Amino acid sequence: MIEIERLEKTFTQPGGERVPALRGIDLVIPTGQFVTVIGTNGSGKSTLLNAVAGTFLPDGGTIRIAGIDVTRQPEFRRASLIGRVFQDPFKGTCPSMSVGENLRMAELRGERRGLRVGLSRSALDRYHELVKGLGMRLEGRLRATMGTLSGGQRQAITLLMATLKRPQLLLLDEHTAALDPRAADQIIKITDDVVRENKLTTLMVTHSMEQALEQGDRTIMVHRGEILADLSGDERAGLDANDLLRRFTELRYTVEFAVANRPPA
Amino acid sequence: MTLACGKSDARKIVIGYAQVSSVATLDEARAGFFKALADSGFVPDKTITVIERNAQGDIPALGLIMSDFQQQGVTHVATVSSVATQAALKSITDRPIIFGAVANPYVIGAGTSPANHRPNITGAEIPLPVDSAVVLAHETFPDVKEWGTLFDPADPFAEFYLEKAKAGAAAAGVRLITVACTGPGDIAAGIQALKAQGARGVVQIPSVMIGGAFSAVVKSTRQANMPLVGTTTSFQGAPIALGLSFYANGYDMGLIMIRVLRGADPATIPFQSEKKRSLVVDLASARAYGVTIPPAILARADSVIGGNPEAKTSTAGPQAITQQPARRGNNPFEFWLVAITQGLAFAALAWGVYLSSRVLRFADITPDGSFTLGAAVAAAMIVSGKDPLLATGVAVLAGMVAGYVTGLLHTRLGVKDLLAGILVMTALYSVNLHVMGKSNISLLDVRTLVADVHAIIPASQGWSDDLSLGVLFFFITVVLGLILAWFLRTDFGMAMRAVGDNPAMITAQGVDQRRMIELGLAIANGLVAFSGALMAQQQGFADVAMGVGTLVAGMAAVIMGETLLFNKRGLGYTIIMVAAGAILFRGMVALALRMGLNPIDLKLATAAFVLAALALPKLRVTRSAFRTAK
Ligand SMILES: Nc1ncnc2c1ncn2[C@@H]1O[C@H](COP(=O)(O)OP(=O)(O)O)[C@@H](O)[C@H]1O
Ligand SMILES: [Mg+2]
Repeated sequence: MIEIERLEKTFTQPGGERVPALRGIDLVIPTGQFVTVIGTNGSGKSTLLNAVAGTFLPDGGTIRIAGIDVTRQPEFRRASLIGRVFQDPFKGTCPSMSVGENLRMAELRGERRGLRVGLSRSALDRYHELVKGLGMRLEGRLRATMGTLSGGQRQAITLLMATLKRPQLLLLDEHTAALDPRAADQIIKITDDVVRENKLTTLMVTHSMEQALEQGDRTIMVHRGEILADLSGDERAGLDANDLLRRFTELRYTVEFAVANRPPA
Repeated sequence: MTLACGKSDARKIVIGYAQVSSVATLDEARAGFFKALADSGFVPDKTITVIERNAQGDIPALGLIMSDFQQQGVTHVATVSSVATQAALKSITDRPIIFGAVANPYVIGAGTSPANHRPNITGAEIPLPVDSAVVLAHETFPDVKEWGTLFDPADPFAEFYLEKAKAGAAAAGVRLITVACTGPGDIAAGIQALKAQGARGVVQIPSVMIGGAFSAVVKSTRQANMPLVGTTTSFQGAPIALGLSFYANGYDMGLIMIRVLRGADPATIPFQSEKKRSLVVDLASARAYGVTIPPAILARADSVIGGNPEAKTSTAGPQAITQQPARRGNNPFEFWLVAITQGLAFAALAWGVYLSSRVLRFADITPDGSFTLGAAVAAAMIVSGKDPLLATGVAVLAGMVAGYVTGLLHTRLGVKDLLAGILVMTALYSVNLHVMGKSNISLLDVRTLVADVHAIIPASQGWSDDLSLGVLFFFITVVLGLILAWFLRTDFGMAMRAVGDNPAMITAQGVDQRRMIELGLAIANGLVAFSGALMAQQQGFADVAMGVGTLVAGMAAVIMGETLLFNKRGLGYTIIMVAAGAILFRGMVALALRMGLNPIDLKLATAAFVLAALALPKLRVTRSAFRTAK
């Protein structure tokens, strides 16, 4: 279970301008739930995921993962709980190290790393099977350096890395946005399989309304650092992409209108 | 305001004593000076106050020392060495300056003749008889017709002494070859350059810098089979030396100081010149060089040391040293053997630099200090009688601490990588001086790793020292390379590589990258210090300035190693090639020297090698691209 309470974060831009990116987010995700997140550019989706992962410490509020209060923990300490895939395929792997080495490093996520040559024959055999399961014909390339793989191939490996050691929470931030449509479809399929198979609690940001509805069990809309709508169950099942877009636009205008007509402070 | 205690009984004497560095000559003058004072009842801390300062080779610090003297109300200034005297001349005009250990006070502007000088300065000069030393060299070794000498272009007396040496050479009818040398690390190279230019023996003219590293001159001339003639008797290791006593010079300086303390006006005291020459023959050194001293010269010697029962008994000179003749190979490959041995010693340095610059991608400048630290710790422990292996191990630990501190400054205090390294490197200069207690430690006649090789491989007894070290360094390098390759493949080592490759990713995998940087820099500088410790034992001395340019040499080795990779990848390959790069780099330096390159241009050549290594892969790419385009 993930419990986020009144989470706040304000950034100060280099010019001194203050940008409130999260304004009191409350979100509870039961164990095993797959939540999709939509919202306009700059609405705070990535900031939300980064705050949960610990890239920075929030200004206020609390974050609990599986009952552990991680709000003040540095990123590397809560890493054992979290698996992550970023939008940028370059971000999740070490380009000059081999695919096998990357997998080995991910397998030890959050664990003590000793003076042992961990990338043994048996580990390689194990990875061979897992990579084969991705269905991307990467199983023969465990010794190749990561940098020689295409964006889609990297994201598939990153996804495998994020789940190799079962995380309490999987964070996916527009992880298909940088890929061509075919590769994006492949990655979405793999995501769906992995999440289902391992019953992973997942928070996935997407810019595609279709994806937001097709994937997962619940969809939240983020706008100006707040959750505008939280859809699940029958209400969500009855919507298609156009409905969702309309709904989102309406809600946004209501908020913008309210903001515009707010009496000056 | 009136003083409560009334009029003070006598004007309080406060002597400000300044010396540029701790070289044997200057230390002898210092001893003579204080002995003279004590003999007349002027005892520091009892009847007079002495503020003693040593600039430890940092020449600009002398100016600070002088203004500090003024602030502390010093009544008399005593300066030993010309640079210290120069600094005093510049800033002290209202109180007496008494100098000693100055070769030529006129060159530095203290006056125009012994009686005609600036009113507030006087002292005792010591014009070393360099011309006579060249004549003596010729008399002792009549077969040698080409004599060489190194000179420090920054030394104010270089020209003065070179002129004297030329005059002596003209009188003796021999040729004089000179090569400039800008730092202790270039001495070995300078001797090679002298040899390449035809010199068959060396008469070393006085120089504070070269004198401070005299053991390097001894080692290199022994290596090159060139007899060495000293021009001061304060340094050991030359078969013969003709000089003046710095102790007597310091004593004279003390006598002058006493006259001034008793009220004489410095303006009325003429400069005194040290005249008493002393010829010292060191039979042990002669044996080490494999030369014999003609009986006529022995008969003239004021002192003979080195334990020959038939010879005159040793007089005042330094205590007799028991010297094992250094074993020298006589084959033509000896020169290249030295180059390869040094290259092997540099392999650890190259790996250290590879670890910080390539694996961690951290611009670490600490090696310029940690290399010397390794040398200093090893040398200091070895001369105090510790086992060389133990000393080398402790040197590695010291280097690790230095690297760890650089890491801490960066990770915990947010200091930028370059600045963190600069800070630690600068601080290490003082630390290294403390460790050594002086600016140079000679390892010529102490037990070094060579002895351990003899103990491990009995057959090596007959080998030359450099062959023994070469074999040892080869094994060390192979073992170290295997350990490094294994380490970087462990789970821990992989995480360290990932910190340089993608810090965000490895943080997300639960690794604290700050700790990795701290530990990585510790290991890197441990390797660098190891290299420094080996280097000190190979070259026979540790010097506080030997670290200058270490990082550049290490980078050069790494870049050459990468060029040698020819686009092949793999950790094992890279590690081997980086070591090969270190050997190649030393080899190229050796080749440049063999070809008679002036050591002043050595750094220029180094830059050219690195540039060539950097440009080579580019040229290759352009050519193949061109071929594809066609
Ligand atoms: N590190 C940062 N420094 C300053 N401003 C930031 C930073 N990260 C995000 N922001 C700002 O916070 C707001 C939310 O950004 P983000 O969470 O990236 O939006 P998105 O919903 O598109 O992922 C934006 O206005 C963005 O400019
Ligand atoms: Mg975003």
